[in-house]
Amino acid sequence: MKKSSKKLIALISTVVLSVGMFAGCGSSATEETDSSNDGTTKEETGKTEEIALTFPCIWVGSDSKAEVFGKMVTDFNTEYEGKYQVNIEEQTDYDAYEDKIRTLISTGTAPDIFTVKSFADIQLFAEAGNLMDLSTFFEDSAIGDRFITGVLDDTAIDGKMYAMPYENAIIPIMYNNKLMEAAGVTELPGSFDELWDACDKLKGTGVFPLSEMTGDNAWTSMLWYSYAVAACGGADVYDKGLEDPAFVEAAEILRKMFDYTSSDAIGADATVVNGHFFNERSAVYTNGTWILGRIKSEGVAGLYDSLALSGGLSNDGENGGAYLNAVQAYICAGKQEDPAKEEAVQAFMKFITEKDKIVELTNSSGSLFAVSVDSTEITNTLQAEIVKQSADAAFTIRNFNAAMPTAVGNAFPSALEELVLDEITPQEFVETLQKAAE
Amino acid sequence: MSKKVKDQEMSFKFIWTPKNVVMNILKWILIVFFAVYTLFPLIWLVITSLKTNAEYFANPFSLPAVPQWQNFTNAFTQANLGQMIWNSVTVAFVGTILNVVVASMASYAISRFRFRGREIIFAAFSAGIMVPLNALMVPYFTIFSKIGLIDNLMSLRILYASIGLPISMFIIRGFMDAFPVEIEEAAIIDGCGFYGRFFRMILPLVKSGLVTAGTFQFITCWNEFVYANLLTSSPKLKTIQIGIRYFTNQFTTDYVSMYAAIVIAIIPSILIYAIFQKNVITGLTAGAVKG
Repeated sequence: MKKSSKKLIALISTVVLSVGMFAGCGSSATEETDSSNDGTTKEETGKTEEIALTFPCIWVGSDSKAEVFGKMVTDFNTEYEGKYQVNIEEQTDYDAYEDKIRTLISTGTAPDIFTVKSFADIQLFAEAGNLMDLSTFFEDSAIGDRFITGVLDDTAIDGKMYAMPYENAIIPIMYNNKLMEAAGVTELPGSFDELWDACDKLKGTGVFPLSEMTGDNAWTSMLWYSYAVAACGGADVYDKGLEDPAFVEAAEILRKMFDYTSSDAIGADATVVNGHFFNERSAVYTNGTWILGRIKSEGVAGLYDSLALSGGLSNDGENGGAYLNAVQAYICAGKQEDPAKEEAVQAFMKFITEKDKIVELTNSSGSLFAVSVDSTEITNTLQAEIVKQSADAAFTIRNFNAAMPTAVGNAFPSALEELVLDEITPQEFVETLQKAAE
Repeated sequence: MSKKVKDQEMSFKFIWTPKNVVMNILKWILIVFFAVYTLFPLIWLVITSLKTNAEYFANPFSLPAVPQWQNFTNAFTQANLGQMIWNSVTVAFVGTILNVVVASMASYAISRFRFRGREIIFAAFSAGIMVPLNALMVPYFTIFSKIGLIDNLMSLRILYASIGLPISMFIIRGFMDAFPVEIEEAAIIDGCGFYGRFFRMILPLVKSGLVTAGTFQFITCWNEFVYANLLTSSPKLKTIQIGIRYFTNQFTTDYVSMYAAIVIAIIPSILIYAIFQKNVITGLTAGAVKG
């Protein structure tokens, strides 16, 4: 009996192992045509071969753009059925996505279409000869005129276009007016000195005046630093480099901000910061327009309606009214040998930048784009106000991460933590960032 | 009842002295502290998976007003977790079997045979423990690309079996080293051949080591994410760890659905550990890991 049981277990194990070994192999074979390196499906569709494009895409899953962007891809595949097909590969973890893209590019197997958030990365990939040259595509005025003035010029590398600016991050400072009024602050601060006064009053009412974090990429604190850098150094501060004294001065401002934030700010991630602002535990916050939908759905009742928005603050009476405005996602294409595939990529880029589609995407997601749309077509009033304020701003400037190489952005959170813990001075904080830039 | 048993029972009887009471209270405080410390994150995870996102942001430690069972439905339907769980099961099962088979054979050779370079080979294998896996993404991708296994679950099975070899060999070799040579010599005198000794003698005697290594390997395979994301593209080949991240994106996260997916994902790991925990504990206390 015991012997037969052992035999039975051995038999079951063998079967399970065999099934396991071959599970997935079959499906892979069918997928092979979709994701082959040349991207061309082998299925004959009458006279022509359908060209398939691979697109590892971050706008999937629970992303606010997922539904409408997914529909755009489906519509493209329907319109070009038998000719072109875009195959979305869902990528939900952004860090893992970036690792994957870098690995694919390093191994010479860049995807046909993909997104990149850092312009420095685009420069790197372009220098390595991994990206498709899109210059002739943008020379067509019907395409070039679709974009916000100047954004294409900012994307050019040595006069050539290797990426299409797509998602734009316009970032206001958001105030909870209800908490501000309760603290006796009747006017939005216009300078950092006025902000400190407001913070003192807010602190007296038992709320955390500011929302700060050092965890993950220290996103909201990085945005505050960007506003401080703009106030201290002006519109062209990034052109002067990290050696400019404005960066140290801005670090002093950022350090002071942590005196007015929650005790859990050190190590806090976006969940903590959002949790404080959404639940009226903190009064002043900065983030992109994409957060408005979540403030409405996840914030306490009335929070969304009591939001007041403004651009940057002045420092010593200078450089007030700046607005953080940077391309958040560029669409790139892997270098192609086949001209037909280049045409397919360009057809897709043309399709997803049509104005009516961008308006639909803007209104559904809360995000903003590098394609020019009339602010009156934006249904969300706060979002429209942000677009208008940004257009009327004294000057617009990129956020710190967007303006710096990836290595500096990566070094920012740990350097900030040391700054806040008073382990380093503002001068040393900037020196740490300078070392990362080298 | 025999006198001996009675004496034993007497010896375990609690004697009410002030010192014993204090020590007992301290002991239970420590036990309860570590129990809470260990179980609290798990309980918090389950409770949070039944809340709404608004409740989560309002107070991460509160109980849900109404349990949101639909978070689990969302996890299954939106992320297609069923297919992903099956993929993870086949990958983890095959990756573990392959790993333990190869590790036991390599450990046997290194532990029982004397040949030049034996320790160098073992050190080379063990060095793998020190290498951060993320640093090897480019070479691994290139290898699997060259052999045509990109977007194929076989690449994950082979990779996981390989990357787990250092720790598995470290554990299994410790057991084999502790096994007296004389017993194997006796088997040789009795006419037992190489394969007979390996399969009928060595493997059964180091069973605890195999189960310990296998359990660690299974959990590693189950939890691995970076290479699962790198080496597969098709939705039907994604594993459970990718499914968990379906609810996160660059700026926003549906936390409660993600936690529901995590609760679903950790069940197999807990089951495997619960089934084999006796062997794993024996393995950790009797094998090489004890140091």
